[in-house]
Amino acid sequence: MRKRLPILLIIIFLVAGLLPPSAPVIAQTTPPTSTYPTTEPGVLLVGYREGATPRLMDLPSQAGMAAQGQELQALTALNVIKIRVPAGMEEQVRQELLQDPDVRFVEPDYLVEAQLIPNDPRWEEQYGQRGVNAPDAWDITTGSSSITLAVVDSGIDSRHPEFSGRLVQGYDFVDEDRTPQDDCGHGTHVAGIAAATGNNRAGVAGMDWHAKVMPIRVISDTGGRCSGPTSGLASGILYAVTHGAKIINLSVGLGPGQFSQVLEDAVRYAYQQGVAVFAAAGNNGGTSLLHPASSPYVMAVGATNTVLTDKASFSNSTSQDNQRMIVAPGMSILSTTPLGYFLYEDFGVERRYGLMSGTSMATPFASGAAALMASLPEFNTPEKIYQAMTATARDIGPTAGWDRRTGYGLLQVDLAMGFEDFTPPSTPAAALEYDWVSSPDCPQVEYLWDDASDGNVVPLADQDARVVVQLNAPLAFAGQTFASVVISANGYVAFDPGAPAYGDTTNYPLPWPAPPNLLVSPLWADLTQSVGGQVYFKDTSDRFIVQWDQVSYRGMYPGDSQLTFQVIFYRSSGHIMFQYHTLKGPGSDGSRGTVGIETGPDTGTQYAYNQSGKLKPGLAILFVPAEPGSTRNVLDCLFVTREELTGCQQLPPFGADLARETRDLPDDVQLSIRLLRVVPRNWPESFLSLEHFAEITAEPGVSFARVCYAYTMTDVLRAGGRPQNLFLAVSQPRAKTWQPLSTQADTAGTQLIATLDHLSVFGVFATRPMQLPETGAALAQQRPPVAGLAVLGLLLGCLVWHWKKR
Amino acid sequence: MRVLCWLCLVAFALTSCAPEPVSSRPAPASTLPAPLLHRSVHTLTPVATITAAPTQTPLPDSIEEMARSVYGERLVQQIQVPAIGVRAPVRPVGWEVQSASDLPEWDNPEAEVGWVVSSALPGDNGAIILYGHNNIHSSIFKRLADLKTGDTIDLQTGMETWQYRVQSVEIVAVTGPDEDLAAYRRVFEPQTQASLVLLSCWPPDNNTHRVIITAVPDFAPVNPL
Repeated sequence: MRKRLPILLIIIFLVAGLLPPSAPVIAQTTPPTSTYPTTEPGVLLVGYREGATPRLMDLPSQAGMAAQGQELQALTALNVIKIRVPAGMEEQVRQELLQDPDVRFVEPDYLVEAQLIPNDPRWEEQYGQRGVNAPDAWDITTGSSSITLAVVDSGIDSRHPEFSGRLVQGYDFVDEDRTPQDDCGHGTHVAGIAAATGNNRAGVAGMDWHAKVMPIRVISDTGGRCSGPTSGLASGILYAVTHGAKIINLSVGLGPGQFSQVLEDAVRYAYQQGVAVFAAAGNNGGTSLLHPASSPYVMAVGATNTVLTDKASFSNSTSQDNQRMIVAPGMSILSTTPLGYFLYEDFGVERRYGLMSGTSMATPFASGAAALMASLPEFNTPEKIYQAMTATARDIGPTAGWDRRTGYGLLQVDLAMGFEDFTPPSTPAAALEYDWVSSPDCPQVEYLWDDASDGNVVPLADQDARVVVQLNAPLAFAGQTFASVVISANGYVAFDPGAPAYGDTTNYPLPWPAPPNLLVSPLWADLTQSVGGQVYFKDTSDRFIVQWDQVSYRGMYPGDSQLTFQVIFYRSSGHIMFQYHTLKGPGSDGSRGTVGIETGPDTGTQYAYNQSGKLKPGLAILFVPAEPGSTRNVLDCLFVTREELTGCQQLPPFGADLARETRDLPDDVQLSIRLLRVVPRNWPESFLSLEHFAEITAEPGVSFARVCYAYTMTDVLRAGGRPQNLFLAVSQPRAKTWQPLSTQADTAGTQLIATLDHLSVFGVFATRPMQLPETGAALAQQRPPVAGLAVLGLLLGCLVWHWKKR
Repeated sequence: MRVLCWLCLVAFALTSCAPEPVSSRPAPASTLPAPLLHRSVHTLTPVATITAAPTQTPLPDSIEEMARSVYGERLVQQIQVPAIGVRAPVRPVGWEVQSASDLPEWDNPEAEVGWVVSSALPGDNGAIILYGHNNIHSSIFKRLADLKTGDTIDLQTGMETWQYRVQSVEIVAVTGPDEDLAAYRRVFEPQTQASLVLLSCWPPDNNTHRVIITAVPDFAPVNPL
């Protein structure tokens, strides 16, 4: 038996090398795009803000005459819809949709893939279950049928005797039916590791022998590989949550470097609903986890080698310090396979019971263990299950304690079940939050470049480095005081002492739960100083400046872009200013980078996240600190309140009335009114703009609001002298126009009032005459005198002749 | 000869009874509405659902009062165009939306000259726009098209007199919606240079065209205070 190990390894590498479809290992050497698409062409997922109603009737005009929306029932909890657009126009439509303030994100439908390496069968029996001490755990419990474990994967072969009496109704998001039959062999194998019935005189024993298994099919045989779209995966997760699953196994992942907001929202939703999620670390041997394993809401599971001393070569490491990650056996795992033909049979996996390798196989050891734990009353939240697993894992890998290769170490389910020293999650509430106002819209914010290139060079060792800089005097941020800051080559400053040194090459939306959580990011992106760039800081008595000078986006041709920008911390006021001096090259208009401030794992203020048109040279963005929940007027440009709203006089001249006393509205609605100067100027010609604009938003969203505008005599004169000529209109970014609102001119209160069902960007307009005044009329035409006189003359002649004749 | 005479009679009858030439523009006899009564009845009933707007005081009702309140002595009070013998008071005018389906109606300046309240005033960058009648209500601007380049126009505000010199005299046809819109754009496109525009209908006995006089400021105010 031992002798076969080298042969097995050779086969693994052969399989890995020859069969890219099933083995993302290949992605290490060739870009994944060269073989298969990594997204569904012509499909976009659109996420709307909480409370906003997805509106499909005015989808992008220019790009999307053919764009069609489809509400995914399974994703309604996330307020996400899927739209079809002409292939090739995805990015254009995405950018158009992002103009809508109700849209949180628009992303492609990424393809997720099974994370396994199929290999030669018949090698060892079930060393994995022994390696995680399952037999000792079974002395305590072998599981409970009151716990449901959802395997969101390629489905299951429901005829397999190991699952007899164990299945509950799942769903097939590939075929949109209720029979999630496995055609890959992947889901059946994964389910068997977690939950094959034990002690039944047949085959193998899974980790949990009694839990109900909910098979949900989201990936399938797509021509030589087992994959499916993110929309299906997210739908599957939500289905599991809403149908009673307590544990979800995700032995799938996106491509390296990809991140899906829909997926992130789905796993966060699961976590918040008390469902523990386990996700495969990834099989490309990379230095960062694939998504969703990289999410802070899941437990990432890597694979060990067969002797359980280190990670398997293919298993991805993490790039985030203290990532919630453990490892479990993942090489040559024996488990259940379908009884009839399945995709992985082509790669040598036997029917009924077969061997497979991958982080896909490691993950169900942990999810199955979690199902066992969840049958005990003390493990009633995902956080407790995660904590018990990480605290009791056996430390393996090159360094003592947590390390990037194996996280907290090898799962020890028996110890985890005995763990009771829980610590409450520590998320310190931010003492201050930040509001932003920017130079084009707010006259009080002026771009004044404060050059720091005569300051100190930040000694960054390489293009992903961070350096801790000791400050001359303490700096206040988010209500705390700091003696040092971390400056990253990738366009941000962090205040967390434990900010990780690597892994910031992918920028995320803010707030983002993973550290660093005290983050000031004028342009967080994968940047490089390799083309003559430099990062400077300047520490004076009244301000601290960090300047990224002539840096570039990292990529094939860094010389294509040049970026010079700075962040200024004003010591006395606590204000923070971002200024952009040079933005050249693709993506530099904001479509590559995160701009904002984070004050905690779930608090922060984002100005832009990968959104084009948000940055331009000469832009200044000022962040002003405020007490959370307070009512404030920021430089007469932004008004924020959570107070009871009576009347319409919040930020003159604009106001909003959410009619809280009569409507069923949550107590903590935050209303924001932001005066604007820069808006899409695409209103009809018959609208005369009075150049008064405001973006009015409520968080969470509302379905009823009254928008008010206090008009002046100057407004009335500019509108032709009548208040009744004035009206309010709402910007319709997707239809590329402005919609006039039925407006009431309250002449006693000198207000314009419009009632509508959602908040957006509003403007004040007047109806224009569209023709010049008519100052005359068509008078009765005088007869041509010559003809008239001639006739008269003839007549007179006749008369004279007549009389003469008499 | 008798026959000839009867023919003459018939011919006379025909010419006198012949329908008037049909204007290509189905204009009503009078295109301006009845003069507006600016002291319109003001309803003081507040909007019931709005609970607080206590700091606001109602605005003046009439366009003249509002303009006087906002611009005071800067308002143009009188226009003098010596070349065509015009010397007339100037009053603020605007337009009124009658219904959602119709275009707004311009105010009637009657026997005076109207200053468009959304346009500039002397000293502003932008076009000062004035219009007056050519045949109905008054014929104050009947001879506007007789102006020549270089003729002077004086605008007297409450403070000073501003002199302008005619730069161009244009007559544009407005016999359909497209031409109407083009003429409107021509005059009401936002300007950054100080200028003066006088408008009326043309010819003197019809409204098929518009005469557009463009003048530019002649030096500084003639008699600075």
